[in-house]
Amino acid sequence: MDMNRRQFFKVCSAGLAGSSIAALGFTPKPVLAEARNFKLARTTETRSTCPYCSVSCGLIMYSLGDKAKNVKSTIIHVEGDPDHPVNRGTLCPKGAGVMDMIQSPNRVKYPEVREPGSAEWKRISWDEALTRIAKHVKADRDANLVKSIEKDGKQITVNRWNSTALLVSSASSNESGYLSVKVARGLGMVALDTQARI
Amino acid sequence: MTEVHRLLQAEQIAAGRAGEVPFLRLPNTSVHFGRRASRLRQLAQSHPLGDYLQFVAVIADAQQASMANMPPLTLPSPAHLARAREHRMPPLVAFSHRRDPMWCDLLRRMLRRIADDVGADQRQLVVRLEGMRDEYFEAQASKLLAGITVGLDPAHAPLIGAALQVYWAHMVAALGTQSFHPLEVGTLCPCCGSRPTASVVRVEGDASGQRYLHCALCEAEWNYVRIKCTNCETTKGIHYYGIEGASDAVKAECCDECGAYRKIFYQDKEPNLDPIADDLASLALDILVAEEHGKRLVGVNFMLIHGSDDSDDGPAHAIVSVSGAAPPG
Repeated sequence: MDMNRRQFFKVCSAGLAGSSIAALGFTPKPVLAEARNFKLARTTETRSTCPYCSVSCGLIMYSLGDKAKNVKSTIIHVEGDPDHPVNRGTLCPKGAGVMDMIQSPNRVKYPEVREPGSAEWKRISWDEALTRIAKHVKADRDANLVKSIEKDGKQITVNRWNSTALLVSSASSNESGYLSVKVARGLGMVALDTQARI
Repeated sequence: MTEVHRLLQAEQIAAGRAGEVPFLRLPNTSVHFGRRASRLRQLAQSHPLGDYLQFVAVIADAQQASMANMPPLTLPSPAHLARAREHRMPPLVAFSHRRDPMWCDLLRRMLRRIADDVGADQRQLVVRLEGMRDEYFEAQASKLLAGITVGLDPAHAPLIGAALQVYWAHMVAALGTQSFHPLEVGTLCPCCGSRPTASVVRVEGDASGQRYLHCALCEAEWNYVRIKCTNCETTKGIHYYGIEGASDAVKAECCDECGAYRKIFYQDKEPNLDPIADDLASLALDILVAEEHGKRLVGVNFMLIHGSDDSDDGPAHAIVSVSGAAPPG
């Protein structure tokens, strides 16, 4: 080992006996005893984006829980991300209260459907939900797609689908925004907007 | 949890300067060490390490007193500063800066003052150190500044380190923020290239939740993105350990990628915190994180040099030549 390059020693009980504390005539023993009575709590800080509006403020979400022990972690605090170029740590009152939405008992956590004529919401699987949406979309497009219109006495192909609209999320990246436009316009959809524009 | 919000004025937002935070915070040398001394005394109340914290408070008092009557110092030339800027290097590199020999007198003056205010055991040690030659001070300083533990006396290091802190803090404050600039490496001090003691999430002045790394030597603080390892700069696998039921103001920021940890302090939970003082006072957290989770300490605090855990590093290896540092005279 190159002794000249050795870095400062690590922390340990044996090392404390040779530390500045002991060398200067004090004792590290009470701290070692204190440490044995303490327990550690593990937290994480995670960056996220506020879901509410088009500004897409950066958030830091604090969660508590030891992942190693398979304990479900819970979010304990949310605040604006001070490093985020959009909001630089600030949040509006609605965004600052996003914790209430996360922990709301009324929060929708899985797909649900209310059948025509029914007053009840019924839980369905993601597969069922996506299939159902796709069927409705296809039926609507098949029924309402305008293939061509007459202009100046001639039939012109337009392929307009006027009866369904799409609103794209404000938290989308440029790439998913591009794909959303390609898919929607490819189907002939005319009414297309994004929350980020509002 | 409490949270500090800063309200922005319409004019601030319109001017586009809302939320701009300074990259560098330099120590206010007229109060800096005095504040540390009061924080140490506050923390020492019913603390298992209370006597030691009181001792370091006496050192901090001596540091503040020497700040008040600093003799004129040789500062780097404008050409040197320009060269450092051009190559994105810190202008006052800790281990290669040619120290003005006056720092040894500064150390002796501090030691004489400290000797009057400490217990009998420590007084003897301090008086003996004061009688040592400049060559010894220079050799110990070079080791401390280069992070070499072999041959470094753990009893002398806090005292010698304290004088070096005063010397560097004075130079940094005299040069001012305009003399420094961000480095390519975000984890080393942009003023002196030293490793930081800890980081602080600041909520004072222009800062509202931004994190600053606190230099172990020159007391400068520089902005560093949060939730990012302060050792290997990764953003993966970062997690925090705090002591259950104790203050939320101190946590150990741990990294799974490089296995290191460095403490992070939250000023919104403890407005008077001082990174050096609070680092010493939270030694129990170090012990738990290092022993239970095997994480490696990367924070440097001159006020506490840890000893070796094996017997290889006895005095037999203590005599080494130090390269890199070039003490004048």
